[in-house]
Amino acid sequence: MSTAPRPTTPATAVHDPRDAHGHVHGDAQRSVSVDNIHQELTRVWNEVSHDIAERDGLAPIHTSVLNLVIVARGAAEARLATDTLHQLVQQVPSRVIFVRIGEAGSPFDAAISANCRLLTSGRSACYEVIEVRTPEDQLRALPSLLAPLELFDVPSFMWWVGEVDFHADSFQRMADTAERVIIDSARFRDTTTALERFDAFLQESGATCTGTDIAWARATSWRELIAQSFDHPNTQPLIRGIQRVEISYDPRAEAQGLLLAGWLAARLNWTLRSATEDADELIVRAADANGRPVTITCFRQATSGVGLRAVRILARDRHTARISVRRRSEGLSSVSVEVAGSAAQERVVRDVQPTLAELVGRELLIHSRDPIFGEALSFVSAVVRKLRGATSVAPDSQPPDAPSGADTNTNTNANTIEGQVT
Amino acid sequence: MSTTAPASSGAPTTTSNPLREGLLIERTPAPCVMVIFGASGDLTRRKLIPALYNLALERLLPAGFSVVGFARQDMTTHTFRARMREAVDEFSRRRPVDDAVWNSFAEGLTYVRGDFTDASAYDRLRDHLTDLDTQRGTLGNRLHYLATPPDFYDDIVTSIGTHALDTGPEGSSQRIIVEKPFGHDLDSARELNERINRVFHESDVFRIDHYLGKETVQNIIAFRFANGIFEPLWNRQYVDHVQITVAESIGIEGRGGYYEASGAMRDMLQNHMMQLLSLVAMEPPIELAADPVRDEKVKVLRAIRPIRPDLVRRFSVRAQYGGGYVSGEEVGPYLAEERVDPASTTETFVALKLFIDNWRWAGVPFYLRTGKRLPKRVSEIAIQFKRAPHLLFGGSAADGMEPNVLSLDIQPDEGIALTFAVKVPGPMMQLRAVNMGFQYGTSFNVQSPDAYERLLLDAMLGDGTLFTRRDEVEAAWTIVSQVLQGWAQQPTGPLPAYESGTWGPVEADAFLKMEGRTWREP
Repeated sequence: MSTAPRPTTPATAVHDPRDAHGHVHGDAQRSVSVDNIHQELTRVWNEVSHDIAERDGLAPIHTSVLNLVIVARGAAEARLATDTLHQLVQQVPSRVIFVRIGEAGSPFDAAISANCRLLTSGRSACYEVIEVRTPEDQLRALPSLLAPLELFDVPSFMWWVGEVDFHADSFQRMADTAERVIIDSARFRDTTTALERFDAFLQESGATCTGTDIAWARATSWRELIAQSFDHPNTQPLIRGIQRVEISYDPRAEAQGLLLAGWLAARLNWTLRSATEDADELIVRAADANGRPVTITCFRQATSGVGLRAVRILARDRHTARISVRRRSEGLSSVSVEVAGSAAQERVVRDVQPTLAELVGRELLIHSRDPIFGEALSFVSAVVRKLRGATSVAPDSQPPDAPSGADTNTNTNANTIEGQVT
Repeated sequence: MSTTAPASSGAPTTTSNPLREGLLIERTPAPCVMVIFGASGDLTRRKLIPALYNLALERLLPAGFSVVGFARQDMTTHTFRARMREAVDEFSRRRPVDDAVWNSFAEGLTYVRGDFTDASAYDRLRDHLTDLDTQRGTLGNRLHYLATPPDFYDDIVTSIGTHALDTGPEGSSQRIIVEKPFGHDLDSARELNERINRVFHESDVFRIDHYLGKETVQNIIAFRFANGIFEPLWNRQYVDHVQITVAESIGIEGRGGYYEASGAMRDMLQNHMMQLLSLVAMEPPIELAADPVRDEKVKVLRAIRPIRPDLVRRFSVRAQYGGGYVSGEEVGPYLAEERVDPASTTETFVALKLFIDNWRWAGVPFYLRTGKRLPKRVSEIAIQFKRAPHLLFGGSAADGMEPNVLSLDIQPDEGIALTFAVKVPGPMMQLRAVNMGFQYGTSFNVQSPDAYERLLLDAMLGDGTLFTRRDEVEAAWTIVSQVLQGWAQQPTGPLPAYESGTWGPVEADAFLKMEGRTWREP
């Protein structure tokens, strides 16, 4: 049995010692079936409810606003997911199905836990985690387990912690069970290719599945600050007169920088003309809605600091305006607006880097297609294609710790397991 | 001062920013100067500046946003900033205070000393505001805040008009926020409204009732109109009665001077509870915007059956707290409080039965109850449904059955609960009432903004949905004034007393008991 998850302690609650755990092991006597998992889940809930009711005189509160399927491959991703999921679920109470993909031949089993936290009101609020360990070569069987385990009346989200092979049959079948797929392109070896392929996947999925990228969530505060800068009556007319945008970032934040550029371009109806890059810069040339040239320069700055560093915008209408959003230090940014003929304005704002749980949590609040993300991603995808000279993208390479041919494996083992999953 | 009705000020802010689409963050208001009259007082320290700082922290204030404190106390801008920093350190919900954000915010804090009746002080204030427009780019936008005792409202509002503090360039906004009490009775409320409307257009007047800024109060609208299953039941066919309780465990906390002139009726019922009543009982508005929502609320208030002064005893109970124990501490009676007349007849508890004479609610009593020194601080709206028309369960099976109750919990544990009957497991048909509850804290582990944050931002944006319109205030006073008149005609003598730490006087229990109902003890 896997190690029991350790709930973290949120600010408003204390960990309740009456957590309960269960285990379904796939062997000759007992299959990892939906019925067996449900049976174990019921037992675990009865145990924890009884303990808490006996202690507090009140039954625990059990709320699920969505299903969250977390998929982690290998030990490092599993650790990251485990560290994040309890914080995450306390923000957004969910039925969590935590899929840990192990090497071929590793055990196929499930562990169930009911995790409770004591609220300041004295009541206990609980959520459940169904942890399914599956070997890579049996992934095909997994969707038939996921769908019946998910709660029917609430939306389902699927967060892939690490690199994803968007072409793999297993990914596509698992994604079919979710309304929304969350990836983190920053964790891919090749960010730009990841963005392009994710865009292609979402285009092909049509209305059945929507998606988002945690890199997009990381850029949200920057989008907010830039958007707010154009709320001002002096700068509002200049929004259609943007001529130059400079985005500086740590090279590891390439996806954030590109998505920010894509967002501006898509929102303001810019048409992509060309894209060039070298090791330090990526230059996108576009035309605005009136056909005037706009240049976006992305500076990859491999110096100190992480993430996005600065965005500078030059706009001209009747006046010239310079708008800049700059990270000053850890947790602080400044926004300055200089419009010719008016007093320069600067404000310092808090810009604390959200935790991974907060970032994923924010994306869980969006239940439908996010067209703003979609159009930004499509622009980035077009930039990537321009950079490649419009050559088609080669099929995915295998993820780092995936065995060769895992996703196309239709061998006897997989069929056997599929037969076990009921 | 303007001699004709003032025109509405400029549109709040633009909505044509394509970069805003899809962002969850609020719109940023246009830069403005907020002038706080009475800036040396408690409200500014405890609520206003901490709320503004929190908005700055949430990045919801525009660059250039400025606050001018205006009060009689002799103080420099430097001292004002230092005091406000102390206030934020003490009262902000977001502590410790972020120095960099505070420093940026505090650059916009200035202080002008002046007596509210001194004309030259308003001239100085006007010049200062003009300077700020140049220095901080506030574009002539003004948000005046009356944070003074109501006695000064008249002088301040009149002076704003005579000293042209309500004028700015074309398109600028000129708004005013008025704190309760909005008058002492119907006549004084009308008079106050008249004076305010001589200077400010009604759409630029924001009468603040902080209850409306609470998330759970706003959730009443969401709950009623975003769920298809409840609205069909929300009427006289299915609802037996409605109880609205706003209970406080504290006493008057040294505010004897204020409370003696106010009492529970004016302090809580005329404003907060009438707002809750109108939100629960109103028809669906045509859209979620200021006037459509307030139109529906005022219709409810106007449909409340008048209580003739001679019938006031049938429809109301009033009482004062006596000594007793609250949360294990011994407390004294109201009449022994500081600055309270030992022969006072000011009520600290009131229960009222109201009927809304319209198609939806005809014959359904609405019981309103508020009081101080009750067992706990709780605000709740309980919709009690009628019993099942025919009981199938004979003998003792139905002994444990209670009517279905839907309770909307406003504070302190915000949530919604539904009580219904289920069968007790076993061979016998035995029923028991169970409670199915939703608590905000368990489903959304996020901290709600303070009511003042929500309301100040809305006022800056020019959105009056969560503020009380003139006709609402006057309609609420119409009902309350009739009851007050009725009480005034009662023979003088001590009010019934209730033991502190209990749910009110026995008269209140009898009030419902004679109708076969009981008060909830939430």
